[in-house]
Amino acid sequence: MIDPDTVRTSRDSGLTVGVATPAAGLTVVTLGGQLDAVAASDLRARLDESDIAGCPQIVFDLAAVDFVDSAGLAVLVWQRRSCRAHGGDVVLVRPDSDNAMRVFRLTQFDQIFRMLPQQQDD
Amino acid sequence: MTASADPTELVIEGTTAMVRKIGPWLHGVLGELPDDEAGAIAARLELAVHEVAMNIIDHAGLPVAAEIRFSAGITDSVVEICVTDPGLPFDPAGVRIPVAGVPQERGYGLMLVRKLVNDLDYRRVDAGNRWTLRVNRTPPADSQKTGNEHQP
Repeated sequence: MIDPDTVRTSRDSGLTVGVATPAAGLTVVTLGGQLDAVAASDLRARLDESDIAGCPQIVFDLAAVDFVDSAGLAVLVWQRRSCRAHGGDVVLVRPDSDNAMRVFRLTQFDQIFRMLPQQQDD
Repeated sequence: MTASADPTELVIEGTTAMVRKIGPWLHGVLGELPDDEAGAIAARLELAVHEVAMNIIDHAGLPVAAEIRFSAGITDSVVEICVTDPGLPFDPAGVRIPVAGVPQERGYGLMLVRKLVNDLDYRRVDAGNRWTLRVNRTPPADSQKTGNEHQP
C-alpha cells in the first residue's frame, strides 16, 4: 500500500510517483500519467534519492500509466541494470492501457521484464 | 507553441516539453475519421510522431528557438504526417540498431517508428530535414502476429 503522503506529482511532467517499502530490500514505485521523455529525467532523479537508490528489488506498478515512449522505457532498463548489479531485479506491474503496453510489445521488453498482472481489488 | 490558423498544422519549439502537444493535435486532426479507425491510427501515430520529434530534439542539433513543424493529410487510403525541422542532416549510419533480447537504454526510437507506420521516408530538403510517416487507413486484423503494428 502506498502512503498517499509519499506520492509526488512533478510540476513539469505531471508524472505521479508513489513509493512504498513493504520489506527490507524491496521498494514499490507506483507511477501514474505519462512515462515519456518529458518525465524521464524527473523519474531518474527520484530513483536516485536515498530511499530508493541501491535497493536491489524494485516493483514498478505501471497500472495507471497511460503512455510510455522509448525514453520512459530507458529509465526502466537503467534501473533494471542497477538492481541486477545489487543482486536483484526490476519487476513491472502491467499497464492497463494498450497505448502504454505497445512500446513493451514492439521492443519485446514484455519478454525481457518480468511483468505481473494488475492487482485485483477484492 | 506557435499558433497556426490551419488545424492540420502544428508548430512547436524544438524542446522536450513541447512534444506533449503532439497527441492532442493528432487526435483533433483524426477526428474526421470514424471513431474506431481514428482511435487505432491515432494511437500508432502519436507514439511514432512523438519518437520522430524526440529524435530531432536529441540529435539534430537544433538552433536556439528552432521550430519543428507538423502537417497532416488524410486521403481515402492513407494518413500522412510530415515533420520538418531546420537541424543537421540525419545520419542513418549513426543509429545503433537494438539486438533482440539484449536490453539497451538507447536506440529504440526509430525502431518503434518503423514498426508503427506502413511507410517512413526521410529526405534532406533545403537547409532542413523532412520526415514523412504514412499509415494505411485499413489496418490488417492480424497485425499483432508480426510483432509490428502493420504488415511488413
